[in-house]
Amino acid sequence: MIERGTAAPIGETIQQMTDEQIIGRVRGGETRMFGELVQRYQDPVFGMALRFVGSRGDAEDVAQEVFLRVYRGLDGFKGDAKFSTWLYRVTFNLCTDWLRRNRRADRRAAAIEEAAEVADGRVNLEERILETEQRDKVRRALDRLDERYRSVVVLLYYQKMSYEQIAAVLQLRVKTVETRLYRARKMLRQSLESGEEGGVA
Amino acid sequence: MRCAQVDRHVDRFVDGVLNTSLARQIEAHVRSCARCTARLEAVRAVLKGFGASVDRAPPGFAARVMDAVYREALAGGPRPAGSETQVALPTRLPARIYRRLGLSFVLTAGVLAASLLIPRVAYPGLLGTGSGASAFSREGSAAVKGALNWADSAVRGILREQANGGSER
Repeated sequence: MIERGTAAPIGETIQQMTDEQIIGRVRGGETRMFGELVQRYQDPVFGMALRFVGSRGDAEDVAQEVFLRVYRGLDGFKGDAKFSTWLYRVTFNLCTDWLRRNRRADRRAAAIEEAAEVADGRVNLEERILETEQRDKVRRALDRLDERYRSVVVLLYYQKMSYEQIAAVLQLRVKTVETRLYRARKMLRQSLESGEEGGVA
Repeated sequence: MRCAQVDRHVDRFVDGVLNTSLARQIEAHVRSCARCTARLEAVRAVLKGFGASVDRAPPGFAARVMDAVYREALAGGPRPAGSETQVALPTRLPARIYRRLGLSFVLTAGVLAASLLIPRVAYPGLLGTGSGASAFSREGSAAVKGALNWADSAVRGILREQANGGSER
């Protein structure tokens, strides 16, 4: 069997290729292969943007800009970090840029549209309502957090990243991530407890 | 283990990143301590608030991104042309193909213009009166002469036919 370089062996589908293999092909001039990377990462990138900027329209703009930046920067991507880490870092940076430009009195996450999460009837409705209430509470509490603490919480709980991944994306030490998470959760809990008391009274 | 230690580790315990021996100690302590049970539940409640919902990119998002990428590539983007390996073609052709189509169109147009202009300039007698062949018999290689002869007689034939047809009406 002859080595075929960057070309995929016969029978291997694009879906089976690694990110790095695909990047090699895009660099080789196959622009359309970049579409596979977009397919792979559109949900987490969009989700992350949504958690930071709050509205689906703005999140889509940010997410599109993320992929364009990544496409432009592909030649500069050294491969010393994983592609996904680099991609999420670009996403995070663009989200913070966006927030800086669009800082408003009414904060974002509480306004996230939940059209897709309308009760589907299969779940106990009461439980569903309680869940939604709790979710809104958490979101409002999250909104009150300082950006430094919000970002680690969003990456951990919404993006399901590991401490190590968060550290790589935010370019922090793992220890710093842990410290921020610890403080963030403490603040969240306090915020929720005081919020609940206020709600009942 | 004491309650203060549970407090310190409870977040990491819930995240599932605590080492096994500490995790076991916490489990053991929580079983016999109402205060820490409540605490653990509070932490889990916060987590539940993050929900398990997965945000999906809107429909057509990837296609819109790729449109922008292709536009950028067509405008002389940073992608170098290189490997020609091909796999099953998706909906759009790569920008490279469009660029080549454009280039070959320009080249074809140039060759066509040259082939029409050069004979007129170099051999003015070609489309004039007379038998045609004698007007340029002293110049050019035999191949060029042959080709021009053929083209000349073909054009003349067509013109004559049209002229005859028209005047006889």
